[in-house]
Amino acid sequence: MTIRTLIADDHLVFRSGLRALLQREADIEIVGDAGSADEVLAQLERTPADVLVLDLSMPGGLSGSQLAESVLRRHPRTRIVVLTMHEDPYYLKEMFRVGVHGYVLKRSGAEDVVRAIRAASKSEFHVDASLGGSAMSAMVAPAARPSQGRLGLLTPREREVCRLLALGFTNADAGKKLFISERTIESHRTSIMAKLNLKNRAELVRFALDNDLVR
Amino acid sequence: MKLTIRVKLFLAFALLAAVGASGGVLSLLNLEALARTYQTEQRHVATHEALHDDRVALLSLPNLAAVYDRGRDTEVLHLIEQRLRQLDSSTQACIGCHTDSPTHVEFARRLKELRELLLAAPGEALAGPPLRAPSAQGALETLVGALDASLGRMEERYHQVLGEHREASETILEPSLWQQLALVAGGLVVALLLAWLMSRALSRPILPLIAAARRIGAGGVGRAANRTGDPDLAQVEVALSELTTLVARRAHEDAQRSLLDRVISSQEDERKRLARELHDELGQSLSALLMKIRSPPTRGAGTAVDVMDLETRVSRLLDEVRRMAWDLRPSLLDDLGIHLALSRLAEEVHERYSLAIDFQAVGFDQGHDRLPGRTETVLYRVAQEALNNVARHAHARHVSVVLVRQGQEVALVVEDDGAGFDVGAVRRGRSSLGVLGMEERLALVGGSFVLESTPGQGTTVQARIPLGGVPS
Repeated sequence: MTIRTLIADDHLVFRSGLRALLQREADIEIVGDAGSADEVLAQLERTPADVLVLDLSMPGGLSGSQLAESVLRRHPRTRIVVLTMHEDPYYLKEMFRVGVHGYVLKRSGAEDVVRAIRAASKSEFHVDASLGGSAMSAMVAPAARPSQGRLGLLTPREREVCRLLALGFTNADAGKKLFISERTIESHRTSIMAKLNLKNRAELVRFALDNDLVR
Repeated sequence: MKLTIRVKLFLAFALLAAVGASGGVLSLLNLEALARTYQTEQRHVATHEALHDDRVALLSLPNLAAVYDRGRDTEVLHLIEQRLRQLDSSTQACIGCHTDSPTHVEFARRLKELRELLLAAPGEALAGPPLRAPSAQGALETLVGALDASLGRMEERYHQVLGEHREASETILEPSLWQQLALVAGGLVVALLLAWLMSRALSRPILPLIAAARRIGAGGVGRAANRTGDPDLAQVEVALSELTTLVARRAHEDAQRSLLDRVISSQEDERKRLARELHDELGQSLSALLMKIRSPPTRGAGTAVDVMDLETRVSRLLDEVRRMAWDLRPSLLDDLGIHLALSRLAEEVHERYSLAIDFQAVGFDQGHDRLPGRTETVLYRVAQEALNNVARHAHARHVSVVLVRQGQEVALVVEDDGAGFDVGAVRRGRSSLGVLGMEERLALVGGSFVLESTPGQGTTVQARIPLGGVPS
């Protein structure tokens, strides 16, 4: 049984080159190609595909990740292999979060794409070899909530100040909201940072998130 | 000293009122005098009429002829007759005139002469040879008696006339200078009071207009409150409101124009830089590549090495192109959204300046909800500018970038614990261009910008942008 494959890329030359390369493989059947997000969705409605080889930067309203999401929502059986020039681990992480099975760089060889398609058809994952290290660091799950439980260190007033600062209030705005002076907010803040051993506002925001002061 | 409208109004009213008041008071007094004079005149006319009756009576007295008739034509009788005629003409003159005093004096003199003559007459007239008939004698005495009585009455009337003349002239006499001054002064005080009240009443509705104008002048945009019902002033207020709108629109247009100028010039700068990079770096590399391709292959096992070399060069070129594209506009922002783009930006700045940057987003569930494109771009550029400023000036140890989406608003905070600065001085100085740029970008999407900084205590930049549409 062959792997029905749909190729999506807005560059015609690249598309036909890839098609020619993939057609050499006996187990891969190209069922069509598409140059835009709309075409991808229309093609899939007509012809179901096992694997969609998807370029992330295509013209049209939907971004690559949005297109991938809507494909997976409408055709849960279709597996996606991303073929892109973006080496940024953010893309990698985001696409795997969305639910793709493969991530291959365009600068890699055709055999990498073939390997990824075969893996995806078996619901296995494949990441471009050259991305190894950064892919791993990007995929590592966020650390557990180490700051949880320290909320008790704060007075009720400090919790309120902490909440407002985590919501992006300036000292002046927080003071206005709580009917106290900017200076008092500052001293509350110094106290909060010292008690919780925080270095900056971002850490304070994380603390507030971990302790459900904001959500 | 400059005279304000209030003062001018006051003076004008005061002047008018003073003239009016003093004139009024004087004419009132005169009116009373006139009335009194009129009464006197009435009486005077009556007296004159009475005098006229006396004269007629005098002339119709039993004729002196009866006395002549005796044939004793005495000098005294002639004299009496002569005086009588004189008195008559004088009386006539006196009756004809009301105020001419010489006539009166003449009349009085004649009256007195005749009286004296009469008093002496009977004796002298009777001292001569006896009258022919006792009746004549009697008639003479009667005549003299009647004349005397008539003259007495006339004298009385004369005094009355004199008295009345005096009275009339006293009445007509104007009040004394002091009286007049006091009256005018009193009138003036009343007039000043009135004038003050009037000018106050007139200028009071102008005050809110002045306040409104001042507010507009101070940069505030407001409407002049229509507190008076006065249609004229209401028009002034309408005009003022229109002016306010106009000024606000002008200011807005100016801001837009300067923003446009800046956008265009920065766009040109960017293009210049890009053109230089394309030419200097890409162009050079491509030329080198072309040369390499054209050069004859090295002999032996060289081909594979050449291909590898070419591949390295092309790969480097690709990196170059990617970096340029990224600098122009990070594709991450369009593809994955603001929170991942900011996270990436924080990493970049960290790598470039080895500055510890901590990023945290709140309310972004891993990129599911994207913000409007313009909002994302503005947030990204503001963060970029703020981080550049931190890297260049702050000497900070810790930098935070916090992105919070809460309700119908998204807030970006870039905060450092660095050197800080005097916000007022920076805004006044030339280096405020970056700050202005951030403010303008935010204004275009209806957002607000806050810059908080104290020397030695770090800096906080806050941007807030309202999100339209239904609550998420």
